[in-house]
Amino acid sequence: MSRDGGKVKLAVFKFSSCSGCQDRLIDLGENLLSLTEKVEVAYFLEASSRTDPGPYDVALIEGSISTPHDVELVKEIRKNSRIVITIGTCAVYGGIQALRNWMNYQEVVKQVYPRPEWINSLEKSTPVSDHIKVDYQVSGCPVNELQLFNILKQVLTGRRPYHRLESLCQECKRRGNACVMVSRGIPCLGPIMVEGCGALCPSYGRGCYGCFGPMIDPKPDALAMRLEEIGLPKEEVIIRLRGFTSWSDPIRRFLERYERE
Amino acid sequence: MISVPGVDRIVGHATLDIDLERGTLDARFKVLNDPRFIEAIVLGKKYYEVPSIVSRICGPCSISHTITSTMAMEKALGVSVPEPVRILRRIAVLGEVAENHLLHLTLVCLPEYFGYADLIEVAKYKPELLKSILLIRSQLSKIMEMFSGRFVHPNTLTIGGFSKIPGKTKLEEARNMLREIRGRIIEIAEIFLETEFPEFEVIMEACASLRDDYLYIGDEIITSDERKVKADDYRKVLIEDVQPYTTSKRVTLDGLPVYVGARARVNLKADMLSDRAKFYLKTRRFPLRNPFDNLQAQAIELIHCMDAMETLIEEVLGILEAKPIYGRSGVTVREGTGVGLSEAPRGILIHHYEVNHWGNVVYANVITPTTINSRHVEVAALELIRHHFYEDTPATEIERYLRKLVQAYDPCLGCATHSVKIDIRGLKA
Repeated sequence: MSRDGGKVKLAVFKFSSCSGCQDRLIDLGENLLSLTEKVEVAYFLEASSRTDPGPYDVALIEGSISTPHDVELVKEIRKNSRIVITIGTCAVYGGIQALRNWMNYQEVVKQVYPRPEWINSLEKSTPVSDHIKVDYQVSGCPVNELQLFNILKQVLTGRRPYHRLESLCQECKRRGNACVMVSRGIPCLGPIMVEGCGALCPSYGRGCYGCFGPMIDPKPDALAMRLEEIGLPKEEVIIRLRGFTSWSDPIRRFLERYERE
Repeated sequence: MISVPGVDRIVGHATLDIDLERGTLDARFKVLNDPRFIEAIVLGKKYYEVPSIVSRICGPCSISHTITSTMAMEKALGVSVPEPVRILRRIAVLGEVAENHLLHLTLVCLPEYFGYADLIEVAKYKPELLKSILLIRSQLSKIMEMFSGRFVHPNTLTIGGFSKIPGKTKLEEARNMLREIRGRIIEIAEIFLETEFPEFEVIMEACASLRDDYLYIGDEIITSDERKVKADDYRKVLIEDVQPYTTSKRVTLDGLPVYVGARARVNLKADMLSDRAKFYLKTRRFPLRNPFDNLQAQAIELIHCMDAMETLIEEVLGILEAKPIYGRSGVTVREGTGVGLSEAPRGILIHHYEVNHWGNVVYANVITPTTINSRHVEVAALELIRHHFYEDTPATEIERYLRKLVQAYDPCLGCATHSVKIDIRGLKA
């Protein structure tokens, strides 16, 4: 799929994030090395001092857009790349930085910085797709490295990647877990969140807190009702839903309505 | 005393500006990260949400952040955890320290010191070495997953203990895996113990660590000028201030540049290292006065972590022989304040929270090791220039050494060290 029949030029960029997703990319280790026949890592600051100015065939973007500079840079990346894939919950939904989107920005800045005038940041932390056209998205906090590898392989062979977006419950059932909500009354966001982590939290006796983001066509209303039924006060339901991926469209829209009700 | 709720401080992008034009040398280590307002976004959150949010401060150090914030919350809520939980937490942190040191030494330093662009080039010229590195990394990740569920952003570590603890078979498997990779780890450590670095030292400096039996979780800060303070009084020794040129706060020990991390730990607690690590330390000049020695300290700690993890796993197995382990204590909500202390891979990590009687966070402060080190980086850069360079030294040469120096401090991960821009004014090119 490269321009001149040679190696595919891959670039990895970081915006506002914890670097955890890039770390998972490195953890692909031998898998990643097996691609070096076909792929040339042209830009990946965490792993290489080589900085090829582009253009790139595939750009992976980690992190959310949270400064005016980010907005400019991400547009440059779009112009310079054939395929843009956002990796991780920050890039796809705004990440935990987006928790500030629910707060009064002036207050937030004052809380943290004694001299707010030195800070040059946007009021809201937003997904990359709010600013440029994104070809594919892989969410997760951090991304599941095998899922990422799978999508990379498909893109590299010129396919349109297939990526399952069913609920965490499906994955949890396949693993044979007893439902933590049914059997132990632990609040769990699994019914509306996307699979991909391996149903990790329920497998370890915790409720899902939604770090991979919503599934396709989620039903937050139904989940909120169920959570109220198992005895959670409304305030607490809002807290649970206003977590990691609360800035994603379906959950945000639901919360805005639910909080007014 | 400055008591401002802190600054988000992950190093992702940094520059070191050196000004040679003025009468006095001036160095500014700038952290140019996007502000993420971590301490503000946890305000008003429930106590149980905090560890998984602050875990996202840093992916590679997520276990340290999770455990330190968990311990701070436990103190605030008056929760005491069973002894085996404490041991299991130590194993998790030891594993994380080993992983981070391995990543820093191999991904960042190895190519730099041997003239490769990245590990892919190492693969071309030294395939066996790279295979070994990848094997250690994947085995260590597997071991870590047994204790923390997920290696980046752990999910078994909760307030009160573990949501699930590894059983006897898992523990034995982890111990055997550790034994298998030990030889390879020592080989990699030896590469760095044999490398020579530019000689110099910083005259007026101090270092700080924790009293923790060299197991990375403690409750008391100790310093090279023999001060000892309890966790709650961390502000008595580590003074925070803000500078207009960086989004990170700076920390000093009463005004003295202070360093933390592997070199500080080895210098302050060498007698508590494992026997094998002590043996390797004997091959070096002690104490480690040169900032570049941090790499050797990391190599020594890599060996120590392997040994300490094995010892602790044996200890848990011993407890399991006698009686079953309960991995979690109950939590009741109350008003309170708590400070958690740990030795993250790069040095002292402090999490400080205050919760009200509904369990909502009303105050948060986080001090990360890179914040503490940043002032020391500036001072060391100036020392290095005074010791090693003359007026006619080409700027590229100075830049190369300064980049290595910043790297030696391991300011967060490779992303930071590779993107350090060095800006030198007043120099003839």
